[in-house]
Amino acid sequence: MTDGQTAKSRLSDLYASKREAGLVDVKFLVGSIDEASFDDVANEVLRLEEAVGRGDYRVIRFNDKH
Amino acid sequence: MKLTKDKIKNAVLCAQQVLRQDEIFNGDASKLAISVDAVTDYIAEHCGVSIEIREVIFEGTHLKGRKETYKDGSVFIEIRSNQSDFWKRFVALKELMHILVDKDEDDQTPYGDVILEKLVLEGHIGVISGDGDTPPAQSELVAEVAAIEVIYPVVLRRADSEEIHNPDSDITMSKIGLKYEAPSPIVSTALNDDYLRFIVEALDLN
Repeated sequence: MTDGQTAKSRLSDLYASKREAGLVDVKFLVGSIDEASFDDVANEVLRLEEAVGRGDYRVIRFNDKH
Repeated sequence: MKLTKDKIKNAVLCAQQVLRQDEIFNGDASKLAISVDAVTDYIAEHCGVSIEIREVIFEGTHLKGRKETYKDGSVFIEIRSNQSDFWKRFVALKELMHILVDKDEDDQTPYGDVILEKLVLEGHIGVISGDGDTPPAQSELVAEVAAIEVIYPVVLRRADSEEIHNPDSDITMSKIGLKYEAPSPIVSTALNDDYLRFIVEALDLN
């Protein structure tokens, strides 16, 4: 990815590489979509991807079994 | 993906399949609120996939979660950290239900850029706006229906619906949300007369 790329082209490149890595399906849950532009949401997906790449996540269980 | 009444019916039937499991609900009120961990374990075993749920720290307002499935059967569900615990439960359930609901080849796509653009440009139609013949355009909404039907079982909704219309009752959407550990907008949708009619028509229960 380069700084000159649009969010759309960065996202397109990202998913091309994911397909090469074996991705077969992707789904999103987007709220308050009426107030969002494609670039807004695409940039959030890119920030999610960057956060995962940095390890800014934790694997969770809800610990809610009865 | 082309949505049909059959897709909605499949989503509701998948939710009922999940709820029939003894470890999840099967009519046992002591199993409320529905356990996301129990649903995760059931779907992983039933579908033969490995599921990793991640809480991810990133700046965001619109994106609540993402599910990615790989050829080797690995499923990653990623949830934005800065949202309420009830929303995290709903996001996890919605993405989990995709694994069970999306049976057809055209239910799946690895083109995240294309599906996201379609999702945003077509707008969020909302599950209660469909009339059964012209159902919502986003495949995500089918899984949302399935998740609503899991988090707040329809068999428990009739009494709540009657009570909430009773002016002498002190029941509120928030109180119901606390009981089922579900976000208030989801409870509101689940109790909406048009939504319930949508589900009943999809199941041909009239």
